[in-house]
Amino acid sequence: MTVGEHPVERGSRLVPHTADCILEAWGPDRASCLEEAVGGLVGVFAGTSDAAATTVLPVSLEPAPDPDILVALLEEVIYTAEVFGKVPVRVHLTETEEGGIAGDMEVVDGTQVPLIGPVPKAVSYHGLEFTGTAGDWRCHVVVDV
Amino acid sequence: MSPHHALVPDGPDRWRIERVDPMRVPGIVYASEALLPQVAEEEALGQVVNVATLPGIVTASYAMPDVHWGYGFPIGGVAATDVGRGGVVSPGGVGFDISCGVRLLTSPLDAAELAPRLQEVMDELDARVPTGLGAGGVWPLARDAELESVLRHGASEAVAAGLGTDADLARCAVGDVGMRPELAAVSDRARQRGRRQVGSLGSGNHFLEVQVVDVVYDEAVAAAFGLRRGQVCVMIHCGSRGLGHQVCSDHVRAMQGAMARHGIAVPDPQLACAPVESGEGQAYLGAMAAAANYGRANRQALTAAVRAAFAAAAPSGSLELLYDVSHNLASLEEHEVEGERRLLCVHRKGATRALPPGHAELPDDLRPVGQPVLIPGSMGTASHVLVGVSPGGAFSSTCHGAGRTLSRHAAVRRVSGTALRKELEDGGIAVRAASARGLAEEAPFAYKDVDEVVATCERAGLARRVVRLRPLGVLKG
Repeated sequence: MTVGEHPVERGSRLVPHTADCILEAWGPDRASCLEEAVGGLVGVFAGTSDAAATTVLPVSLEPAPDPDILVALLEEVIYTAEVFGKVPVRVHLTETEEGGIAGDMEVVDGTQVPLIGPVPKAVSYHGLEFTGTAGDWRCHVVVDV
Repeated sequence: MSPHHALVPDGPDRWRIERVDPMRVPGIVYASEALLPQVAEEEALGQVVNVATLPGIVTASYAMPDVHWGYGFPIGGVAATDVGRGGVVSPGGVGFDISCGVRLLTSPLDAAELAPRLQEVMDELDARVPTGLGAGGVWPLARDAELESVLRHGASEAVAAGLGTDADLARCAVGDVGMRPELAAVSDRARQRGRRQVGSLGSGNHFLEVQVVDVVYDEAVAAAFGLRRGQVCVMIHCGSRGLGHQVCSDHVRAMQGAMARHGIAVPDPQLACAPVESGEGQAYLGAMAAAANYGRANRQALTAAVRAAFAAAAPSGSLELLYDVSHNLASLEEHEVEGERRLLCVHRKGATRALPPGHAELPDDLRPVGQPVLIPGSMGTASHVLVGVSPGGAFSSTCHGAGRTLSRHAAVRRVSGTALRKELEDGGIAVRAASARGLAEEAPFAYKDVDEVVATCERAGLARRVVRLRPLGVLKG
């Protein structure tokens, strides 16, 4: 499966899948693509455009193959929402010297944002892609709702 | 459709995908002519073919009439592997929502008796059944030891906590043959996700419906099941929540790391698998059995909430559990293969076990007639009760629901949640929903015709229809 063409430098979109949802995100580098993927995932279930963050949570992902880093990050968002009821409104990520990802998520309590859809519960490896070259990173991931 | 996926007629409403390398067995697809265009979607048939490559698979890779595109396995797929000949277990063949399933409660009320109280009942259900992010569950578990008891004992633990009766347990005992829960294989993260969710509906395609029996196909079996025309029932469709999803994710990863050591390669990473008898295989099956217990305890806790809602709004005698089925599960079962009895690991991913009359695992009072098979339609449309038949097919399996034809995305583009709610209410169905988009995503037109799906199962000899149920009220997570 090939991640489609996108007109703007960074962003995300949902692509039809019969049972679940396919999330695509893109950005000029790996960290920004991951940030967009988190925004896309949150957009599946919560309206956060007017939300003001109340807490900042650290993000730290060990070096791993790119698709595994994507899965680990999205699973962290699902876990944070489900166990702590916190929804990311902004994410700031950077590369670590070791090849991992670090940063933070500004989150809001889930009761403070409108629930607009089913909360994703898992990330699938089926059709998973996360690749990039300088200036163009893209991911494609099936999310279980 | 790729030439490899060409469907060859193979019997009544049954089609065959011939085996070509690297398939180890052929594919068998159950579909009527009417369903065929929807069943024959490229992705789902490609997944039937991929499953046919799994080590140790026997007889065929099956697709039920409600099959659709999943991840790894198709949803509506059945595959059995030979445990004694290196057969594998694949967490993807069970799915993320381990023991996602259905139970049906029968009430002594007729629809006409309930009508003046329906809105009140729905309000009570809405208040008592947690839905939405962070809403928690009916049965919050304060300590780790309580969660461990749920994982070990399932619905029995809920009944011991006062959330049901011994009679309930007699009707939800089947489905995890041959496996003991292994708590050490359930991660801390899975436990954290599960601790506050026992007795919650979740979102996605899960629902709770107040229904009425509107068609009786088989009077004798319906009577044996305690069902009659006009009777009010309650259907609960949900699974093992975050805990089950985490168990699947954890063990898919563990198996991905172990496949090379076992000399296994799969065409899709979500088909990651390990021999049943390997450490990874046993760990997954033990964790899966624990998650299945969690799923049944979840439905049992919700049963208590439903009973309390009816007691408050329409007191009229008890709601009795007809049966509880899981349609996402792997089970160690003996079946005849090439003339001999063999121990198989039967994966049912969006498929329901359907035991025939006389089967030893059925409760005594149901053994003469066969297993009740509960088929939820899409939200707001008909559901069905079937009964297992002999000899049956696909290792005593049948469909699990209507099966999607439209993506959630496409459904939302075609109708708003507000418009759909009005449409359902104009049709006499009371609606309570956590989110408007969640409602729209499950719009009835996004699914196959469940009446045609179950009729196909009957013609193909997988199960027989007993009654049809029509919704009176829908509670959507």
